[in-house]
Amino acid sequence: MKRIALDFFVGVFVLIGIICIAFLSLRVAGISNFSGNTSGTYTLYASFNNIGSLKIDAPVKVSGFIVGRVTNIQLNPKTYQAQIALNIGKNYKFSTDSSAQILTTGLLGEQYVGLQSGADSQYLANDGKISITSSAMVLEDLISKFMTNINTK
Amino acid sequence: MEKNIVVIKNVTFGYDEDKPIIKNISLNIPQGKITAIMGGSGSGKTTLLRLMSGQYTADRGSVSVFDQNVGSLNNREILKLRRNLGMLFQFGALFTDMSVYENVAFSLREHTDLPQEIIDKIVAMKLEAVGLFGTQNMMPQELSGGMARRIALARSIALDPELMLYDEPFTGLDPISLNVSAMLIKKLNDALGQTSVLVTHDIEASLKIVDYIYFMAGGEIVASGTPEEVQKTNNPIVRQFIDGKVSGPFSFEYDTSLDYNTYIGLDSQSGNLS
Amino acid sequence: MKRIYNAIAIIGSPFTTFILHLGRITNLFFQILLSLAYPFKNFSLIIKEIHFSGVRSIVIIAVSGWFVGMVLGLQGYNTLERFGSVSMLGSVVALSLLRELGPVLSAILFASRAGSGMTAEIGLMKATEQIDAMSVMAVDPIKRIIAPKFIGGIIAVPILSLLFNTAGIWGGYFVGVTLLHLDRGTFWSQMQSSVQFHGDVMNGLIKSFIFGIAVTLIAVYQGFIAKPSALGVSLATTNTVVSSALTVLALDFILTALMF
Repeated sequence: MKRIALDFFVGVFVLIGIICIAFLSLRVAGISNFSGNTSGTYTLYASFNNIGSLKIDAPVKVSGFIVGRVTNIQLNPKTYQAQIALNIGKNYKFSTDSSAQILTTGLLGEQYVGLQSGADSQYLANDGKISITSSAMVLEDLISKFMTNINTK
Repeated sequence: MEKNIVVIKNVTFGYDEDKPIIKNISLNIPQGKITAIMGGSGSGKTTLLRLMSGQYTADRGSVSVFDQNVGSLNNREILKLRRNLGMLFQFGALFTDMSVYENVAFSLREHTDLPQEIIDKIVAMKLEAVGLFGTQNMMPQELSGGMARRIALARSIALDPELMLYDEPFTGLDPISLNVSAMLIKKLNDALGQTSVLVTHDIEASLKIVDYIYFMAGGEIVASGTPEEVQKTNNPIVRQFIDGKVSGPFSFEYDTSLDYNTYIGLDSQSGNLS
Repeated sequence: MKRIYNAIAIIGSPFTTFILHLGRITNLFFQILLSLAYPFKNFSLIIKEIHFSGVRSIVIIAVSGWFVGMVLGLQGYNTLERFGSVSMLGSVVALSLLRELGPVLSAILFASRAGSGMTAEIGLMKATEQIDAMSVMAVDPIKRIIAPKFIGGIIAVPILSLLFNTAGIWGGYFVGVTLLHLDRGTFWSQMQSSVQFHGDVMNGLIKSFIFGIAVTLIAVYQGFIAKPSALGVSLATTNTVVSSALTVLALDFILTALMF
């Protein structure tokens, strides 16, 4: 095989590889959907009594729109509350009285953190803490509540 | 005093340490001469050649080439030694994925920084020396056996080595190619001032071009001498070999403890099958 | 007593042979690592090898990927339909391919086609004394023949794995959306929300890179130790395919346990 033809085909081969990885990153993993954040991110903290099945890298959404990711989940040894760190895009600001909820996608899907901005004029800065939190709904609690309701009727 | 390019002293070697192929051999290869090592198949001659090129290391004794003990050299030194050594393999061993030109130019490209034009000329010269100038662009698959071997010869002399080792260069050639090859070996040896070692079992060609002969059998040297001495010898082993006699010290039957007659069921008295 | 010793020897010998081979292949691996400078200076050798093992495998990998993707689409649809979760089809196809099927199958296919080819080539060179001839001409065959093939292989395998995954996802799309009329938007968006770049795509790529090293190493090793005869080369190529397949599957288990 002539040298030039070899080089050409190998070049095509590598090009195929690049196209594939571009496809896989953008179309399949949806990497551009979040964090195309040219402005960078900042961190907020929130404590919950129960985080349900929330995992690291779960999305943080406002009105259904992804604004960040969960980056860390830890147990506070003093209060025994779960403390999670949220990585939020810098261009999304939240007031100091914002609330965080752990919601479920669909009925039984994966869980995510829903944020709602409040009415305060001051905004949370980096490492700020969201004070109003609402824990995840645990299916067993719901069912036992339902059962007790039925029994009292 | 003639210098010895290769000195083999008390060398014993076997692929398996308990089954030595070469048993306590000593011989010298003098400079500028063509020395033949002859013997039947399996006598250990090719192995001896490989000990000289450093491909194997002797279990006992020393093999020294160009005054260096081959067994004690490290990789880099062996590589340096081999630049002065050319080896022709039995069927040529040309690199099948390269053209004739690339094969012959191989050593030149790997070991020198010569520019393309000069390499072209050297390749042309080497091919002309073996009578195959013009085949540069052919691929090894297109060559006949004899041609392939001659190209391999051109390849092995590319760097003008001082020592040439030939492994059965005449096997399988027709009488004309055989003579051509023999004359070529002699011509190169004399023209380039080389020392050549020929491993072969071809009597005719060897007796014509060779200066000294060593006979091997069963891993030992059983006879040696110049072609004239060898032709007049009374040594039964050499005699059988030269004359091509069927019976003699060399037995062409396989050495086994089974007895043929008993196996067949032949009655040893009457000669009839029992 | 002797019978018992013999029995133990017979049972034990595959293990000892295996360990022996493991040692020799590690030895070869380090020798290759030490000789990497040479092929990089003669890059054309590497280009040639990438062509023979990579470019020539494009068709088999793409077609296989496409078919596997289609089957995933079909089977996935059948099973998910029972749970009313057909919308997850995109995720199922993508995750199965990216995490497991892509790296594993493309490595095994590579071993069967390109790996066995490498083994045959090296074995044949050994049988026709070309390797010896090269050594005697003071050129290290490991630098000139084996290392370029190794580098070519470890570059080709990850790229082929990417191709396999891409073809597979499109195959799944074809079955799910075109044939079974799943919603196009659902297919891609569900996939995007469940596939993570670092967790799935990158890990899959790392897997295929490691498989590439294993498969190529086995291929050149088998060629290197092949007995110089027609039978020897034939046995060596069979060994390449079998050992590669088993090694890839075993490594897959270990890597999956570590990564996921």
